[in-house]
Amino acid sequence: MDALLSVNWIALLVLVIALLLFKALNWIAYKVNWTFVILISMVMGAVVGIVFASEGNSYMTWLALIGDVYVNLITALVAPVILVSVISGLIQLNDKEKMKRIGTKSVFWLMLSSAIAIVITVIFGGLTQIGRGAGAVFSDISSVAGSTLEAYQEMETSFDQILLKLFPTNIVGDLAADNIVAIIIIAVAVAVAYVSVSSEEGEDKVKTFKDLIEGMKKIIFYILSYVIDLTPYAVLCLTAISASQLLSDKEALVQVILLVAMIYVVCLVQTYGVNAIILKFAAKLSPVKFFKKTFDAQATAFTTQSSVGSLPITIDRLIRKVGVDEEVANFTAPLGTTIGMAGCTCIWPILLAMFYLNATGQHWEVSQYLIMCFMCLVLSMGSAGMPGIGVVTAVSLFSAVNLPIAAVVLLIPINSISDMVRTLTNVVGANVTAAVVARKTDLLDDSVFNAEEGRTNKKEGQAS
Amino acid sequence: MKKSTIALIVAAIVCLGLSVFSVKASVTRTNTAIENIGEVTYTDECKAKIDRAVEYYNALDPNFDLKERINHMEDFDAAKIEYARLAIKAASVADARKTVEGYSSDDVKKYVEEAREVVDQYLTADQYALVENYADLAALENEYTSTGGTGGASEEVSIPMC
Repeated sequence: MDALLSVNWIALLVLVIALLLFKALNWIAYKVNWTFVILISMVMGAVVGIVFASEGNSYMTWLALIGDVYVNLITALVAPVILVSVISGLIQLNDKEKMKRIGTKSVFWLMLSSAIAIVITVIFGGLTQIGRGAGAVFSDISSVAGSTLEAYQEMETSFDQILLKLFPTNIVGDLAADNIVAIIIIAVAVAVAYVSVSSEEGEDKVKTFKDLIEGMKKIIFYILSYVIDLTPYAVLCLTAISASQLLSDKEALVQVILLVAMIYVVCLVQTYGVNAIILKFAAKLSPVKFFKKTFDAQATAFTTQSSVGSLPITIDRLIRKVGVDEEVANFTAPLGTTIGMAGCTCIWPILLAMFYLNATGQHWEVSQYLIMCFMCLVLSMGSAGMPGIGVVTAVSLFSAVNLPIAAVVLLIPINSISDMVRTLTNVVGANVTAAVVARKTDLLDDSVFNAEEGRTNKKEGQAS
Repeated sequence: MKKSTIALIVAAIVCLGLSVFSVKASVTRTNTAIENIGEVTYTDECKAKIDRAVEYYNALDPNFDLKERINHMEDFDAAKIEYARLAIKAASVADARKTVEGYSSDDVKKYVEEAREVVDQYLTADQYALVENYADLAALENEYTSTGGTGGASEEVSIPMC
């Protein structure tokens, strides 16, 4: 009897229901567009999460396991995908000047996107006076334990650390730690060296290396296609967990619901408003079509809350559906998981700071706001695209502008729910930048972008 | 319909049935365990009965408000408070015996630690005040388990919850 009661039968029931829904998704995948499949899986996940919302997500144990397996699998492919595809793309480009142009344009557009996000956030925060009347949220600020504060202070990063972390220290270590900029620098160095040797001593000397990279690329992308096929199932699980979490955390959310709403509004304005304008005028692409074609990358970002974890799908969609040339997609999209990241490094920390200032009745001079904006721009130059990075950026900003870190600690309950939309903003920003850079360097294939999406043969979800 | 789909539907029905059964049975076994406690004495047998009732009570699914369906909740709380009182009393007795019969500090410390374990495991912070000799435990901990006290060699720091 005790053995029977020690099993969480409701969690098992949720697992079995999810498996039944997987079968339904599998059937649907052959009938409708891949984007629609992802949308259906999100709806299914939300329904499961709402129906089986539980304290501590106790009914979601098995779905969490499936979601974590997917995130682990896709994260495992990040380093090899970036390394091999950046080297391959740049070797094929075989033009050092063009490499330089892609690099500088990518950084420029990513930073411009961050700067716009900062301005929009400050305007929204200022106009709505976010946090006014919410002083009660910080009434317990003095009760935050010293040990907790110390733990958070350790997260703080300074400008020199940000710059230092961008450069490789150990090739194997950087690959293992998914240090994206370091991996890109390694890959660019290899590609530049290849092009130099090839032009000075003849391509025959290094052809074996090129063949090896091309072979590895084919194999890695084939493996990636298997993982991408799992996306709808993972999205279902991860959405269910988020929905359940949201409902079980609702008491904690009530006090700061306006802040959460504001984060969503500003992130969505940046994601689908600002980026639409950039797409229309800088990339000369239809925004609606672009967002539709990259929808599954957006869904993956929203549910996994990992910019880096979404990279393999992002790169694949940019190449296969938007028509961004391989060298740009493989270079700019990964760069956008470290540089830019408007959602996590600009919108989130600034709104937290403004919420705190208004809630505690503090008034800042314009110069103080300018310093805060500059600090955010610095932070946006180098943050890892991993779940939870928002806490690090918020702590760093609060520390830099002399606001209490304890205030960040008190706002942690909304980190997870807002991380979803922040990651979406980061990923869409990187995608849009890749499209703009491709357009500006004449590496965008409009025929691919204009091709209509038909029904899937399920394999449409696959990477090429 | 495919066999695998039928198997999953059957599995879902079985899980649903077992979920309903386990929710009801978990309440029943908790009620039974509480009823089985009986008279509270400072014995291993009585402690095992209370431990089992506490374990079952804590395992109740918080999503169904099952704790409200437990009968004799007052008796259960009273039993836990009484056992905590007895455990503290045992520690006090051991302390007294140390003076009279030459108990070692380590012997007394064992009783004090056991009393603390019982208090923390059985009671919530607001129930501490209901244990009439709780102040004795704090005093004994100060003597035997705090750093700088006259306790044993291990000098573990115990942080009272109140």
